[in-house]
Amino acid sequence: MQGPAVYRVRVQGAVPLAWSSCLMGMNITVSNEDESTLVGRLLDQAALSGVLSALYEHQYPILSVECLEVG
Amino acid sequence: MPGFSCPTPSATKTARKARLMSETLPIPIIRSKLYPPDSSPDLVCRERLLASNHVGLGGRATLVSAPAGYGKSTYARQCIDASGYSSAWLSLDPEDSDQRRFLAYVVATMRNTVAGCCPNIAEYIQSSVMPPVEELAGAFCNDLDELDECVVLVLDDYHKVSASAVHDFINQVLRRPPRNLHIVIVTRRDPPLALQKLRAGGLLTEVRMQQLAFTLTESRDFIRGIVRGDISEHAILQLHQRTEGWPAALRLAALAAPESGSADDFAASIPSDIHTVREYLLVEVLAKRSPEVRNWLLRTAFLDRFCARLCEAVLSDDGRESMTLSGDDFMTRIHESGLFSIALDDKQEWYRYHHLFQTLLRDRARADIGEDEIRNIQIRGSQWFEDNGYLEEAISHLLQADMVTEAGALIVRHRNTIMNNEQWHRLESWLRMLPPDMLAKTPELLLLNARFLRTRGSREESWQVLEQAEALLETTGIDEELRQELLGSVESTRCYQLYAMSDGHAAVEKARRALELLPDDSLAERGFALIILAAALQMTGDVDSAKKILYDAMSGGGVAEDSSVTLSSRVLIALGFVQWMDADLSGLKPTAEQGAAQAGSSNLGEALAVLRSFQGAVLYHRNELVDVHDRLRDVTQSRAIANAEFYAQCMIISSLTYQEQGDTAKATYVAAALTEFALKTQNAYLIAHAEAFSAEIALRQGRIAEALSWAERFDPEPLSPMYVFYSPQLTQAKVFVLDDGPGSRERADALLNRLIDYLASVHNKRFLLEALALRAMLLDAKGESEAAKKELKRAIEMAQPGRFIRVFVDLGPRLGNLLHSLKLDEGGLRYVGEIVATFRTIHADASSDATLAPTVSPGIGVEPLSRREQQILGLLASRLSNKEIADRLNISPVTVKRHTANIYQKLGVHGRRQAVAKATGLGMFSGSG
Repeated sequence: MQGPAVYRVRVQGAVPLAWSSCLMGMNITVSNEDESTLVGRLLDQAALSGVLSALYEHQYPILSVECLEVG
Repeated sequence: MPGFSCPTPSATKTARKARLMSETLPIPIIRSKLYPPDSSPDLVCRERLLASNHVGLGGRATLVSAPAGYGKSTYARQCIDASGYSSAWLSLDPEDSDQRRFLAYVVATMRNTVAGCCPNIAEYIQSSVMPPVEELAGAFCNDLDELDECVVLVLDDYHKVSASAVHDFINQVLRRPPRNLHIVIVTRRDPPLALQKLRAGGLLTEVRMQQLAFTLTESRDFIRGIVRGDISEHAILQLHQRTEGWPAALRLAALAAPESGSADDFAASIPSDIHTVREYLLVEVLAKRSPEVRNWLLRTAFLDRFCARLCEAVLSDDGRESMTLSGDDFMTRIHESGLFSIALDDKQEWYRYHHLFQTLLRDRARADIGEDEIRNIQIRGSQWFEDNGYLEEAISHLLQADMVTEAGALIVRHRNTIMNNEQWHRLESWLRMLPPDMLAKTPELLLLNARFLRTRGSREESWQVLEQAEALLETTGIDEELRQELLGSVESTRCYQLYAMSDGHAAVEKARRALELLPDDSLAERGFALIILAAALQMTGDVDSAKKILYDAMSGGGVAEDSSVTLSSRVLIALGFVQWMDADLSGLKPTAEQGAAQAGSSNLGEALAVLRSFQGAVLYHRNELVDVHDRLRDVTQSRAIANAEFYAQCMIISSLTYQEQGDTAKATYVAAALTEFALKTQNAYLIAHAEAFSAEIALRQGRIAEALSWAERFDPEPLSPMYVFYSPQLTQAKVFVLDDGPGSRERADALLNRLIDYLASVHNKRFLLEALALRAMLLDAKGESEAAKKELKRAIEMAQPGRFIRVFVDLGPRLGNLLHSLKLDEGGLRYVGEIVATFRTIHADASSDATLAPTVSPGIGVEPLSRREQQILGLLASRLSNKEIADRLNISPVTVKRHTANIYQKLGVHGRRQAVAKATGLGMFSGSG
């Protein structure tokens, strides 16, 4: 679990699609008015922590974090 | 910018750069943040990693991202050592999320490597208005382009920064990186930077936890290097597995290992669960120290950096008599035993703990010594930092101890240090450290905030905050002396407000009251009150008292030695305002020169901007245009905009000068640059000025419709004191007077009546004289020529002592003709002669598209004199009688009389003395004479 894995992060609010490059290239979809889903393969926990921290600092409340696939 | 006539441009540039280099950065720099960690002798050389990471240039960057304890900083240090390039190191703190502070530290660390580098970005961060991030990044990249060497910039602990302003800056730099820069970002988690592009282009080297974890070989090297005595291969394998190659845990294990006995037994005793390993190992490490060293370790864990004296101060209350260890002993011990301490400077004076070790120690301390004692440690630490002048850290420790009130009190204690030296950026950062609700509850802090906002030009906001403070003062218990000072501050801000509302008498009263209340060491605030008092006295028409107060202040009354330059330039500025509004250009000239010399040599950018605008104003109005650009250059060409309002004034003077020199393209360009700047500041006052000035330029370039469209939209109210070079209201009046379209006359009439009443009531002679001249033109256009002459005569009499030329010349030839017909005394005639002579030179070489009004009368000034008349005029000047002239020229006295009558008529004068005076003013005796 220390290595790469695919993660899905759901947050409240619409995350601008252009931020993808600052969020480790995660794919952003804004599902409805007030929820965004980010999916992508992250290198390790430092990368995941970076994504969560960036979302936190931009005040997007995190609804869930799931590990979809290891490796 | 090249293209200015200057004898030795390169020398001037160098001198200016040298001066800028000596400038201090806007915040005090803690030097120990700028040193990389020292390489301890037991380091494992990460050849495996170094081989794969080539610190290359040309847009490459390195990201070192891993949890605490993986040796990130050590690796970065080895990296730069291996690269052979110069390196600049910066250990970041949460406070560096402030963009200005971050950039100040970047400059400081770059200058550590290359002395005096980064002049552009250093200039920008002095500015009161920070430019957009693209411009900052561009300036930084240009600075690097100018360097001959390659630099590796390491930003350590980047995860502590939490501001998009800083991330945006790094993003911009990474987007178009200078060819000679390599950025290494060391962080515990991936930063929110746009790294995808670099990754995709193969330009980003990433070193992550997986790479940093020790391999078995590295673990072996490390353990063998540190543990004395034999250790079996089995024990090494066990240690390696149980610590999962985590370097920090291995180091802890090494420190905990018994000096004698079986290393194998010790290795076997380490728990196999990685989460309990570090806790277990720390207990073991501490158990091996003497109780006293243990005590010191736990207590100094709350310091982010420490030196021997600070450690002693932090421990001092705790049973001093039982203390056998000195601070120096302690420092030596932790250094020798490799207890995760990192030297922060060359002299090994300051140290810090490794972050992970510090966290472990703190956790242990919370359990062992308790929260109360920890608070005491923070308080003692804060006390030491305050006593030694490290105020930022003193505040920070109080805040960590949850002592917000005390932190506020500390700021209040040091308020004069900050304000008397105009360290407004520093004050801003202090106030930001405090929780907003506490700021809102403390009158002293609100007052500091109000003063800060006042210097930033946020008038309304400043007054609101002041009212909050005043309301609190009534209900809060406060030390009497401080209350006096606070009341004084309230009064001084209040008097400024009254002055801005043009109530001179009330402002005088408030200012006097403020000066009674304010203590002597409150230099900055006393200076402020004094300046408003002088300006307010001028407003009431009492110029003599205004000047006397300022002269007294300059000759020592209330000016202390240490900050005398700051205050004395302020006093000179106040004198300048008084002289400007009193239309006293002759007095203003030496005031501005003296002040500018002082402000320039002491790097007081804000004062310099004001004084340069005065110098520019004198030169412009005296029609000495060639010198204007040179004089204004250090304000208009500077990247650091110390004062937005006066920067704008200098731009206006510069644009007008280009316009009147016939360079309309440059005039338009500068006016457009001004508008762009004003929009950037989002300051409504500046935007209004810039728009009005664009209309002024349009008018002067003959685009009347454009000017008129602005004038019809502009609301001149409320009228406020016109103490700067330029006034939009006067442009508006000028547009209406010069436009002969329907309705313009009525508008001009109403506006001028209002302006003249107002300007007369506040004794603003400078703008009053222009308004009177405009009314004269209006009356003349309406055919009321006698009333027009009367009005113009008033204007001339007001303008004569200051010898204003351009005010009249700029109004165009119609005014020139009107001037010529005025009945004045000798002095007046000589003065009017000078104005008319200027008209004539302008129209002799005027480019046709740069003239103000479409109806240029060729007969401005004087009908040409015949040769004989010129001869006779010359003899009149030599005070010869008619009889003597007749003899000299061999003509009859009757003929002489006829010629003189013609001369008088042509010059519009009565009598020979007036004729000589006017001809002198017109310059008729110079040259061919």
